[in-house]
Amino acid sequence: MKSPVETVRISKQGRDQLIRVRRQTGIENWNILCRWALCLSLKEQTPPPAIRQKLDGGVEIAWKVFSGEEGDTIAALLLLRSISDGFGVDGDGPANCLKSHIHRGLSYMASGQDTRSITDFMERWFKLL
Amino acid sequence: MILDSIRLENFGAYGGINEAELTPLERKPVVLFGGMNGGGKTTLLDALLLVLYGPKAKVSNRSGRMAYDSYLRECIHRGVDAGEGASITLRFRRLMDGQTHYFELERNWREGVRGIEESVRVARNGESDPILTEHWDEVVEAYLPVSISNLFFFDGEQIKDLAEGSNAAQILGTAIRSLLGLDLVDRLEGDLKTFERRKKVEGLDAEAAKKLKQAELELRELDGQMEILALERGRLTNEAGCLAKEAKRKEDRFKAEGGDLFLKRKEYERELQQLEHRKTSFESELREVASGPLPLRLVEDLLEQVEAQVRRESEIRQNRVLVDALIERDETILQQLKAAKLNTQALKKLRHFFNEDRSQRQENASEELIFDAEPELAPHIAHLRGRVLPKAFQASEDAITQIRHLEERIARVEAELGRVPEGDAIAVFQIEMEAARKEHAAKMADIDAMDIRLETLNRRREEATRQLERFGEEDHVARIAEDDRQRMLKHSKRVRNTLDRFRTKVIARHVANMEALMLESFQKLLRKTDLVHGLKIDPETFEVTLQDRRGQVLPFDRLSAGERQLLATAMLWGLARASGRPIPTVIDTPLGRLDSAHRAHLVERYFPHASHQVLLLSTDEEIVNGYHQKLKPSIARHYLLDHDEKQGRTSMHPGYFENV
Repeated sequence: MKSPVETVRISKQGRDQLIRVRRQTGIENWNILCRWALCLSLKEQTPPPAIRQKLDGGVEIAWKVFSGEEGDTIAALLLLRSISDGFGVDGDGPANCLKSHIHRGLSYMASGQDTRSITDFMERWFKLL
Repeated sequence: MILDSIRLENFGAYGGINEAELTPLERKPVVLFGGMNGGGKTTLLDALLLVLYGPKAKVSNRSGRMAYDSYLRECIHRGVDAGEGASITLRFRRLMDGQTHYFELERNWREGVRGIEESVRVARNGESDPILTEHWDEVVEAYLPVSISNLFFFDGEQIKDLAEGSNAAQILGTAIRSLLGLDLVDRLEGDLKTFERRKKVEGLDAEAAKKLKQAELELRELDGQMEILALERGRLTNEAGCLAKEAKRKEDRFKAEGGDLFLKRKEYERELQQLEHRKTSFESELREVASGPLPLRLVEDLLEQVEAQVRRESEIRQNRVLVDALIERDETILQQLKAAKLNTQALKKLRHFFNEDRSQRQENASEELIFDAEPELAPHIAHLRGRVLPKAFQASEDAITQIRHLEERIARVEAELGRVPEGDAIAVFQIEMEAARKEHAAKMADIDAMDIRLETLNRRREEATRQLERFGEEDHVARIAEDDRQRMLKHSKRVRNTLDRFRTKVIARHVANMEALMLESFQKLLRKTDLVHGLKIDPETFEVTLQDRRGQVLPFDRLSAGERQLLATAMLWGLARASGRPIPTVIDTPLGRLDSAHRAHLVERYFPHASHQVLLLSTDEEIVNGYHQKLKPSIARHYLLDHDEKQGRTSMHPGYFENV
């Protein structure tokens, strides 16, 4: 399937958030954290706010790295949400959808004081299941 | 007993071989030897004694001090080399159990390398008899003991001692005792006396009693020591108890001040480390899981939608392909069926169906595709949803559970560690506790040492008890032995008394007989027939007393010298007859210094009747002339002992003095 973006880029704010979560969970790889961020946001029924910030946080992740083994799956997810969220399937629609979800997810992840370990992290998000 | 012959080889004066036949003839018991004093006459008697008795022989020329070997050496004839030696051979016969046995007794000796070598050989009835040879001394002693030999083989001159002198009684006593076999009784009495002497010396074994007392003392002392030690041990045990309490108190205080924990710090730290390690391990696992497709679990419903959509789009694509193909196909089928004469109604229905179907598919096919996904995506997502994600979720759940447990335990250990006080604060308590423990341990060691001492002492006590028992037994045995001893002494004394009485009675019984025989002999020999009427031998002292015709004691000094000599002869004769043993009589110098009056009676009344065999060794002044004539009818043989002065040797050959 066609990937929505070639490279995933993160804003400055997003980067700070990533750093925070990295410190908390001990997960070193941005791509894994971004994946989590994406899924956390996708879980919400509501559409994410559009990203207006510049994606100059300095974090750039190739789509292949970001998606790992589930490239097609994630692309498919995004397309569905692009439609339902109103981003549309044409042009930058899926890309914007992706950006917005990731950044919303990052802010979810970085929020909350009591996420101090990977265990806390997992427990917190799996309470949602 | 009859002597048959005597053979001398290089013995004394007799150089070379000299042999004399001694066998008497019927009614001629006398064998008469004539020789000068110093010419070997006495030597002949000595030869007889020597061959029979060896070292015990009472020969004339051997003093009590002279060694037997020296005596033998002396007896080897001067004219020959001592290495050749000398020998005496006696042939005799005896009647034993109704049978006559012929004996040959040879004693020979020579100067060997190591001194005088003597050997004795006895043959019986022509055959060498090793038993007799071996035990000759005992054999001869049994038949003709040396102690009575002088009753039969004697020197006429020396028998005066028998009549005169103080030892007459002694000699007579010895002779009588020997004859009666009382020498045995004497010997037994002597042995008993020795036995008693020894027993008296033995005395009570005071040792046993002493040892017993000592053992008792020792045991008592040991008991005392044990008591003291036991008390001591009790005291030590009490002290140990107090110290134990004190040590416990210090320990408790140490514990209360966190002492135990302080010691446990290291343990806790180690445990903490382990727990942390494990937690870290699980956290890594958790991160590992989180790095996989796990986050997709969050969007399960979306995944469902995607899966459904992919399947739908798969169908759409399929239809897009099919629709065109179906138009042609459907028409073909209809044409075929028409050709096959299917009814028009059916054909119509079928055409309708096909159209509907195609129209539906067309509708479907004209739907928009959102994805341009591979159809494999659907089963892939199904697999994710069905297998992969649940598994990952479970793994993360497990890891989380483990981690939470570990965190709990870590918290607890940290809490414990938190309670551990600073080292210095409780150091003092620790030191005190250890000191108290040490003191207690030392006291326990003291107790152990005490126990060892008690053990040793106990063993000694057991040993002492055993010893006491043993000595008690020994003492008991000693007392019994003492009783035995006393009893033995008593009985020995009684036996001796009995033996004494026995001896006295035996003598008394036989003395009467001897008195009679002696008196008879004496009266035969005396000239004065009326002189002596009674002869008494004191059974105790063996003193002879004579009685005159009135029954009064006749003192000896009333007898002349000659009469006293006759008395002696009579006593010997009487004893010989009383002995009951048929032994030949051998008299050296038979007439001695008797005056003619007395000589006649001896020659007429004694010599022919002295025994069944009588050997007389006479000088040229004794049995000569008239006396010889008187004796001649009783003489079986004559031998002359001829001494050659020049050659220094005597020879023995038949014959007699010439002037006879």
